[in-house]
Amino acid sequence: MSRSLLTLALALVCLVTVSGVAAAASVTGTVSVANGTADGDRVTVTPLNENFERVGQPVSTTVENGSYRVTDVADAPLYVVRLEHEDLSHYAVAREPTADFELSAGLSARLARPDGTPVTNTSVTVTSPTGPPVAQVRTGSDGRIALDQLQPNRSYRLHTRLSGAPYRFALQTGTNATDARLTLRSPTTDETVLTATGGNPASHIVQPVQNGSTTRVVETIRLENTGNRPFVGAINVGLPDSATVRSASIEGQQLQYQRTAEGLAVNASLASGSTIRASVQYTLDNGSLNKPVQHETDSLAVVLQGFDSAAVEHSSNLRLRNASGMPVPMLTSTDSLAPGDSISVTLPGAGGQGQSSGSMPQFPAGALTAGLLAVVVGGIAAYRTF
Amino acid sequence: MTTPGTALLAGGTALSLGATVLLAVGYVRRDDQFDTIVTRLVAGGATLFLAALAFLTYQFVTTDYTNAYVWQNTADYLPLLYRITGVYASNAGSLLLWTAIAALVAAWAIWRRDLADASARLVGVVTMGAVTYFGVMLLLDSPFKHISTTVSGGTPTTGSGLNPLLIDPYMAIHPPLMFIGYALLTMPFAIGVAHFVGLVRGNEGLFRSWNGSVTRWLRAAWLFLTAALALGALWSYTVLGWGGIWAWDPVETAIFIPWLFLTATLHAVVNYRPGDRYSVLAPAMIASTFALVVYTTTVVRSGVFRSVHSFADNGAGLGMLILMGATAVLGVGLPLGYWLLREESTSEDEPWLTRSTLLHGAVLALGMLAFISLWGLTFPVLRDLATGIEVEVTARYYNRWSYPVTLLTLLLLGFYMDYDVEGKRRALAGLGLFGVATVVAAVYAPSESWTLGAGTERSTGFYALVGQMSALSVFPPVAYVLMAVLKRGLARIPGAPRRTQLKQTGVVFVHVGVAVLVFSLAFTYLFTGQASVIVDSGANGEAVDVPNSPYAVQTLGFESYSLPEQPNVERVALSTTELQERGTATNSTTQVVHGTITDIRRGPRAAVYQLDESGIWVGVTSRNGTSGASYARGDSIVARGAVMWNYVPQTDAVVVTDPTNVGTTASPPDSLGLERVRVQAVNLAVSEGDRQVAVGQAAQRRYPRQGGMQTRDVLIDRGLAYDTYVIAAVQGDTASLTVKRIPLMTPLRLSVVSLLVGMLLIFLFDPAHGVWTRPLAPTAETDPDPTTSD
Repeated sequence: MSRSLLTLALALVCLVTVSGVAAAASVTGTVSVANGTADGDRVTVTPLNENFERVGQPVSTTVENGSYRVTDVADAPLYVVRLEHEDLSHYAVAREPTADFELSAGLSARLARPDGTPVTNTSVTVTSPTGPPVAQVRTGSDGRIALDQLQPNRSYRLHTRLSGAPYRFALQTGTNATDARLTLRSPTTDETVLTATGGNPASHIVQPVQNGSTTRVVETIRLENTGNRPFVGAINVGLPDSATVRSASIEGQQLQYQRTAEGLAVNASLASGSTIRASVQYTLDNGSLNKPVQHETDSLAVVLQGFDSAAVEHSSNLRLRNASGMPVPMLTSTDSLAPGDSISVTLPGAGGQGQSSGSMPQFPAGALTAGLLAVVVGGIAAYRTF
Repeated sequence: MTTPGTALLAGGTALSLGATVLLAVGYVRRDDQFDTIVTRLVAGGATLFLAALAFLTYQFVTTDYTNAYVWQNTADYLPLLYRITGVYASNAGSLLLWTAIAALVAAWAIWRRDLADASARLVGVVTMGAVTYFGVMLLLDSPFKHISTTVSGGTPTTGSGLNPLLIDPYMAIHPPLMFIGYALLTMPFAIGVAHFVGLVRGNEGLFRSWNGSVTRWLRAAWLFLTAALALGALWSYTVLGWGGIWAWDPVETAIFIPWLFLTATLHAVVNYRPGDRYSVLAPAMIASTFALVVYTTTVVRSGVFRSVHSFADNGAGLGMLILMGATAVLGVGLPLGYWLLREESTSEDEPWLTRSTLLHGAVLALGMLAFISLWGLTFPVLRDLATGIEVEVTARYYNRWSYPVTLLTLLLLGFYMDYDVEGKRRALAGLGLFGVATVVAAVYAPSESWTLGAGTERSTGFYALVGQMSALSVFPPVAYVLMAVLKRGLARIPGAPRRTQLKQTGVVFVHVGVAVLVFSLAFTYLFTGQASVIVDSGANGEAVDVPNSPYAVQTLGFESYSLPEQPNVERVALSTTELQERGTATNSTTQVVHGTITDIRRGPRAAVYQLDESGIWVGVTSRNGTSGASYARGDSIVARGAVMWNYVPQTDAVVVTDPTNVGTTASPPDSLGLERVRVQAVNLAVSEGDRQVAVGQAAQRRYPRQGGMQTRDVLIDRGLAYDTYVIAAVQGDTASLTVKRIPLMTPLRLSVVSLLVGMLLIFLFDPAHGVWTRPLAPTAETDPDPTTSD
């Protein structure tokens, strides 16, 4: 009797754990190819969370009879579905567990210099709007590239380099992607084509961190090339006079930099219409953050995490936003800033920060030990008495 | 190529096989004519396996790279201790260690007990069979393979190096202890299997007369496994930089499962009464323990898991799988089959609440805990086999399932200890009181950080329910156990015979250890706090406050250095004579040579240097015109490149290289890989308020020759209430420090000591089955403890 109960209980536990760990879904869809078949093509589904981070293993299958079904992929709010057809890769980002592919549209373009001479034998990478590469092709002797069997009504990006300068073009299949003429203008070194724009919560973020007696500052600037030609040259970042530079990086990659009278300069190149993220780390001897802005800037924010925001003094082109519901107090620019404008912030000293013990929970070791002793001694005494 | 080591292994295996066969024949024919020769064969086999182990150790100590396994697992710069550690750094060497100890245990058992009867021969068949099997596995995947089977072009001059994670004093002793524990379990396994073979063949089985022997083997194995587990945990605490002693890593879990099951088995064996209670379950459990060891080892070494222990994941191979099958059939299948076929005999007249039923509860509870871990380990493998999808069972599964079962186990333990001296009525009142207290404590959390699920992902169902429990719920069961165990000790120890006193003291130590262990573990994990700060040389000598913590750190200086400190180029590079001796076998292989330039020919795209007036020349080609440094006659140079024999007329061989791979002996090129360890360290003083808690060095070690792998040297202050733990990531003269405060680590360490001391006392002085006090007649072995009757 007890044995069978025991066996049953164990079996039950096995079942419970299975349901506790494994939540799986299946993703399905159809694939149609103009003048061809997709049968045998490989489909890979990767589950992602809302922040586009992978939450499970990618699962693959092949297309049969114009459709596919991927089972046992982890349950997720988003799926990236990748279809490999011949030498091209196609992507779909799906919120529903279904994604259909239609490969029927064509794309053709001719790459030429401003004087009309074709750009020959140059590698061009075609990417989907979400980023991953679809194909890599080379221009012919007339500067032409052509692809068919792409998805209709979709924006594709073409990336290429010429004499070290990056170029980027966007083409929409079915709209302007047939016989497009793409002109590769010579690059500029004029920094005024770069503007800080489009960032969230601001395009230029200044984050000071109090670290003992020194203040460490991280600045991140999102720059867009708003001109019609690529930018290749030095990007200037203004710094306070007392700053000691720790590092400078572009797109997360640390680079060599040069100190200038106003701040520092790093070399970068960016295609027309594309954006770049530059960041600089430096330390300040005191809490005085006084610096010029070098680019047209739509919004700038100074994040005041860990500082007593009421004790911060700042220039009039900044205002304090500390509304309830905001996770962190910050100073934001009242209006857009132009090259040559300066901002000024004076931070309170290290004593200004609240000593919250949030990350080091208090543990009453003494009280618990005393409690244990009391129970042991009291318990034994109680047993002796009663 | 046959090496001396392989010969030793083959000899050991052959002798063990001979012993196994003769024992089997002797058992079947009930014939004692082979007994003398068997004893000699067994001793000879054990000697040869030990000799093989000693020989491998010798090869490691002298860094004899003609052995491929030595070359793969050590390097010259390592100190003696870590050259020895290399012996068990990978599968083949670990298996040799296991085999040698198992052979020794088998030989000792046969010498000690003689082969007096048929059942003793059967036990011998199983133990020697296991040793033989290990021997065959070793021959198939030998730690004595000649280097020529792995690399061509002669014996390498430098070793590949030891896995950086294993360069730690704890790791030097953890594996031997573990394998001693495993090897000791071979004996109980053999006894259990022999018992069931006896039962199936219609006689009584041998458990009755071997009960004492089994108990001693099990206790000895438990001692070693406990020590091994504790050392492994301390290793992960310092080396992996988890700042935690346990992470439910598959390999950790794989030792933990047999340990838990062994603990349950010990309770079952105590409860064994011949022909009555546990006459099936106790022998079945002792047989299964070893099967579990083999199973968990196979699962984690089969490369299914990407665990921190993946240094040995080159596949367990078929051998381990077959062994798993065999032990499962013998250790689990045989007892289970017997149990199913035997009709159930129930004694209805027994009262439901007795010591025996309580011990049964303990066996069940511990078995359940073992099952939780076992299932967590097995489930991903089953799922992988069934669906081809790898899933990971997270710590949450283990923690949340084990926690309530652990509390129940503690309450049961307290109740048993109480009941044993107080009787039913009073003990039930105590259980009621502490049971209610546990439930109340489970719903009362002084703050958010007391709930078990604090700071982890949201969950549903059972996991959410346990996640909402307060850690305070561990307090009443632990207090209950401490009180009941001490109270029972006070009642039992004074006035008892000396051996009983010692044994009961051991029982108190073990169970107090368990209670303190559980208590400390729960709070260690929940109340570990951490904070970070970046320090640089600019703040030298000045205390920097660590934000959100009571700590301040003072940087006393940065250091960085390489190991070995003075690399010997001539040891790493071949001389021209050595290269001549190796001859054309080195053709087209990459070698390092050194010598003095005696002649020079320069061309437009290459310069060729003759070394030591020999036929060996070094050709330095220059890519797109950059020639690099040029050398003159009389310079001592070292070069790494492809050796081309009979490539250029008038030379024997040319070492073809480029400017980046050649340099003078005084400043050799980086590509030689002379730098084995790059240490970047920061000297720190950590203070809490006005009190200085720790002064020392935190460092990171990078191993460029091992894929740039990094380890961290942490700075730990071991305090009574909590440890202060500092990890540093050093970059030049900037260090990013993480300061952790980990409570109750010292009680945790003491609890392990208490477990070991307690078990040692029981092992030595148990009046019934102790080593010290073993009675001569094994039939007199019964538990003399007075049993409370109501």
